[in-house]
Amino acid sequence: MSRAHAEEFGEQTGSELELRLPADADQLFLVRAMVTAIATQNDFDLDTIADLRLAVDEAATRLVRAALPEALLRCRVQVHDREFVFSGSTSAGSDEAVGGLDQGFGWHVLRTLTDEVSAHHAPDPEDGSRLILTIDFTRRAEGTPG
Amino acid sequence: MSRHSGPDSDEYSDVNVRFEVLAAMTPDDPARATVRAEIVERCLPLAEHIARRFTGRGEPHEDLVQVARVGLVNAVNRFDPERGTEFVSFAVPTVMGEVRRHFRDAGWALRVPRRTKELHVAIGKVTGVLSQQLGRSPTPTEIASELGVSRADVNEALLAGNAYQTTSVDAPGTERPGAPPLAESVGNLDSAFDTIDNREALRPLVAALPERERTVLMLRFFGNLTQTQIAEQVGVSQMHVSRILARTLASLRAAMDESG
Repeated sequence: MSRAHAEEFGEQTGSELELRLPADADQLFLVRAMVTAIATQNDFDLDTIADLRLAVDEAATRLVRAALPEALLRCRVQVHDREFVFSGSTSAGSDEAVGGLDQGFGWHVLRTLTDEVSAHHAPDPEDGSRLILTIDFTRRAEGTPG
Repeated sequence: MSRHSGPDSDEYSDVNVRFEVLAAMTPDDPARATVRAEIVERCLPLAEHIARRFTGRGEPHEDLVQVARVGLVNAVNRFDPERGTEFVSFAVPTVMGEVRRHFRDAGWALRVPRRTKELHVAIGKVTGVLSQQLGRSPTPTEIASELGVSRADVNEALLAGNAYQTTSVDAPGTERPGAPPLAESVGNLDSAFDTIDNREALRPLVAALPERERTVLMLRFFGNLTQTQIAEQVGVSQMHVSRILARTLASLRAAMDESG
């Protein structure tokens, strides 16, 4: 897709959008809706939009399952040079929750749907008994040079 | 169905004869499958006819035909001639039920304006054509320029169409015996799953999926085909492939939880 098109339709290159919501499976449609709307607005091809929906679903589901009750899910999205960048994070109680984050069929699904995906955990600076879990992924639009 | 309108019972009266042949066979007769397949093939126009009645309500015609055919296969499998009804009288509501279920799964909210639904169908149509031309799926801008409508309208229709997944968290229908066989085999599950660390739990769940769901899943996640390529191979729209994948992944996730 040409740069002219992207500019004409208000591509949000560079600007980052963030959504904070309860880390609850019932809320995930909001994350999906945000990702779909942003990818559509930025003129990604339909295959990539559909894959992004599946990817964000998988990533957010993994985080929600590891999250403490009452935790928030924080999702940040940025589009940059035809690349969609997603970062989701939540807080978990212990190392146990970290274990399966980058394993299993779901992780294989995420790797297939994205160009790069990684999972991290770090101590919560505000509460030493907690961990911040993060899943980041990027996905380029189809037909753009990688 | 007591009225004989639309697809005529008389037009399919020979089908009842074939069901009598089927009923006379022993349950383990290998020829049963052949007779069943003949009946399905003979009644394909019936599925087509019913699909046409639902066309223009927001779903691509070719998807409706596929769904109606699944309904037809179910009807053939479930029909009991002993009950004294004609096959067509039994099949029509069964096939219509399957198509209605598809609309329910698709989650078309009643409030979506008719114009938006129609545009969604139009998008489905040109998406196939443009994918052929471009060698990849089109962008909203390419769709808008092909249809001669605004980007805003295309965005709206795409987002409305994508709202389906908010309602499709329930498990897929697994009661689909004898879904139409797909030409392409998806290869050996065992070797495909080698890299997955919970493959022991996964294997039986994938093996139990209806054939089309399994094929679509395997082609996307082990064959590394794009959704557009899978759509072409399986003979449905990319939108339908997307829906099948979302549904199948959700059901696998739920099933893995149960199996621990």
